[in-house]
Amino acid sequence: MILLEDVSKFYEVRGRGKRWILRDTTAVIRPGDRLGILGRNGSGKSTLMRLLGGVEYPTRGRIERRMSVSWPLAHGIGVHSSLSGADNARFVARIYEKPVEELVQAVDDFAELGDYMYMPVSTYSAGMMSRLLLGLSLAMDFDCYLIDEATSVGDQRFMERTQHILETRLRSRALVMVSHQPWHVRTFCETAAILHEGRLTFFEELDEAIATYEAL
Amino acid sequence: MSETGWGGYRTAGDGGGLGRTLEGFRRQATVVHALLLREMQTRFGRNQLGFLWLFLEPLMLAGAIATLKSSFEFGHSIPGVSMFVFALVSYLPYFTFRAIISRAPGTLRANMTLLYHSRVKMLDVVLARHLLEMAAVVTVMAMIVVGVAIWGDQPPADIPTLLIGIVLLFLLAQGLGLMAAAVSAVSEIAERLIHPLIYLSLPLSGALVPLHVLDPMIRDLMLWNPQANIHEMVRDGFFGDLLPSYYSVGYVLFWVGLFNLLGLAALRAVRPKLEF
Amino acid sequence: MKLSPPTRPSEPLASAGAAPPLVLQGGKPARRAAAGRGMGVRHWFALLVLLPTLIVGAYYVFYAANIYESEARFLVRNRGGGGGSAVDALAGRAGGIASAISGARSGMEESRAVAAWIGSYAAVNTIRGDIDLVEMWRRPEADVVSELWWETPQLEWLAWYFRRRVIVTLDPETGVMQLRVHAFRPADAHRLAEEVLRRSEELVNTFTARSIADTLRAAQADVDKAERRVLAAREALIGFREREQAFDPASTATGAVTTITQLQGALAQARTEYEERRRFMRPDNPQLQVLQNRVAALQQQIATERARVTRGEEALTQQVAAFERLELERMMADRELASAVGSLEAARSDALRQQVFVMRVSEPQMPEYPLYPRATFNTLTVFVSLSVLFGIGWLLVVSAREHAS
Repeated sequence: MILLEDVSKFYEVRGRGKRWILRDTTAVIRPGDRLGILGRNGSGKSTLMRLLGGVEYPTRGRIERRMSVSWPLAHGIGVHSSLSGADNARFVARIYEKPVEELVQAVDDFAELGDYMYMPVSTYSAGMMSRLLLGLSLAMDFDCYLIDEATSVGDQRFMERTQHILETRLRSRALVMVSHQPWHVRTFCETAAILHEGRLTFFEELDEAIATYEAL
Repeated sequence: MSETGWGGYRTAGDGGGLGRTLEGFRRQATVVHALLLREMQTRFGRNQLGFLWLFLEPLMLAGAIATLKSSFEFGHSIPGVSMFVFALVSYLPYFTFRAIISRAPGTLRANMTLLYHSRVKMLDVVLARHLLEMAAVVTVMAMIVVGVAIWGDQPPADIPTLLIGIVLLFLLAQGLGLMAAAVSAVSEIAERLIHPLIYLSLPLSGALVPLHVLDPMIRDLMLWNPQANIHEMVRDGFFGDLLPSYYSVGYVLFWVGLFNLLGLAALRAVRPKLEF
Repeated sequence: MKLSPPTRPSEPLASAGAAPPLVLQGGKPARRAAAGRGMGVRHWFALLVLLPTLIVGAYYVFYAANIYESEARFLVRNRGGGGGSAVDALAGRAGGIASAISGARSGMEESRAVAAWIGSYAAVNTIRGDIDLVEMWRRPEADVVSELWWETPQLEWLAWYFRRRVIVTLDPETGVMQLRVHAFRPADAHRLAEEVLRRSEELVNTFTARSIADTLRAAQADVDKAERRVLAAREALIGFREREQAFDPASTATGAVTTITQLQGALAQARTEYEERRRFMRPDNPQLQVLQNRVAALQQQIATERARVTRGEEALTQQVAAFERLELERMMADRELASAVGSLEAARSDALRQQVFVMRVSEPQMPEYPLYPRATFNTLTVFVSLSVLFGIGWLLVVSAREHAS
């Protein structure tokens, strides 16, 4: 469960006052939730993810995580670009105290990177990167996964596999995904919210949310 | 006590105070260990030679300066104290000191992406790097000590003093490095100022000349600088009675404590303000 | 567009029992009281910083005994003054590196020696023979923390305590030494300071005596040797004279030759006169007879003299040679003695110049106000140090606990 209590977040923009990401938002994310958050470019989706992941701190209010939350999975985030995929896997395994070599094997199996597993991740394509990241985070067995920009989720085959895992092994886990493309949300999520001008609006129905989002 | 005060987060299953603290320290140690390994990989590549470079770099730097200094014979000659060894013993700790502080701002920036892992805290990143520097300087110092003892026939006068001096210098650098990292995370101007300040502080650091040869007035002024005290202490540990030294451990401890407190607090205060 | 509440109302919000009541939509959530979950930071601060500070403060305010300080300043210096001793240092007094660098200051080494001596076991041992140190530092008014903890301390423990209460500092620039003595009664402090100073003076005097004795010993030995040689030479000469019954064989020989020469001169004169008179006198003139007799007598005399010299010629030559050897030895011995005595004089004056002594710059005073313990300063130091340590510890603990979240 992730609790947001009266959370506000803004950046000071020089000469132009405050840029609000969130205003006085209260929300709960429960285990098993599949939440898609839609927002236009620059609406602060990634910042919201970082807030949920505990990377950035809210300006006001409190975010409380009562389950383990993955780091926001986005291109090049949480990995070191000059290290190989395997080395990154070892590092992450050590941090989260998982058996190192087993985890490297698991990531390799899932991400199907082949020889690229032993190349610096700076040489990875977007798809490879997201496979690595998903592989890493799935192997960590978090309670809640934060996925930033599903465009990078990869090719069709990989998306299907991801979806399958989410529906079977990770059925009880939460998933929060931000995207500016409704079809991503439709593919992976059950509920949706729209982030627009600092307001996070929740919808029971996906279709309603998408319709509202497209009307913005 | 987990109430961080800057809108941080808490966990649901809040175990007993002591147990959680111990668990926290254990996990922190794990994270620092992982960071140490990664730091060595990114810094030197995966080959073993890179690892060697960690020790060779300061050794060569200090050696080069020492050779220069002893061959040009500037400075003051003290009977029984080889200029070369003096320079090694003075400059090596100084280089580490400078390296820690000047790299501190870059450390955070380079490792920003690691902070996405919520288990990795800013302090861990800084600590890992400092520990690596420390390990390198202690190893190199040990090499110098052994080398000088064998070829120069001059064993160190007091190894505990030498070691404590180096650890104190490291802790001082650690405190200053924490402050530098924190300050430069929020202010670009401050970051730009750090390097000039480091260079300007060189003459005041007490690393260049033994305080003994200085005018008493100047010496007293220099001794206000805790760093000068520590350099004197390191030299005292090495040369002992050959070179009269002036330092106060209590004074150094006070500044070390204060700097570390300020550094830790600054780092903590800066954390919520970080923009990714 | 529907603004929905963030949670599905059908589900109970807080599944965890410990969760605080959440006020949704407006209204601040009640802050969890720190006391509810054990001790908060304030409690820890009170326990780890304020309490020790209070204890220390209370100790100073209510319990700590007054400590009086008697202070003296003195200087250890050479009689010769700066210039002379610098020359000495260059001339080969084993000058330490320090004095070679900083320029030899008069009495610097002795000052260091005195500073090293005060606080040595030897010093404590000496002084406890004069003053009952244990009684002095276990006065009834002394408190348990600051008094000497042992009733009958071994020398090592007494010296440990002594070094805390008797502090010597040496200003390397001026060479002035500062002696500070702490005791629980003004008179005690004063007396001990006086005693330490007196013993230091004695020590310095032994330095001088020893240094003079060292310098003079060799010179004195030379003098003794020369004296013995002179005596031996004189003895030998006297023995010779007694044995040979001649005061001076050389001058004896010279005297004989002179006599012969004089007799020969007189003989020549007598003959000349005889020849002269024979020409105008008759051969039976009694005057001629007289002259003839004189010539005969002179010839007789010369023959006797010559026989005397020639007969013992060999002996006399030997006698002269032996005599001259002895005479030379005597002269050499005399000369050596003179030079040895000269060196001794020089050494003595040199030693006098090396003489060091304690110059009292300020006499130990009788303390009137107890300067120690410095209650406010010490309490503040404790407070500040503990606060800094607590701050560091707290920050470390907090950041460690974050890892466990």
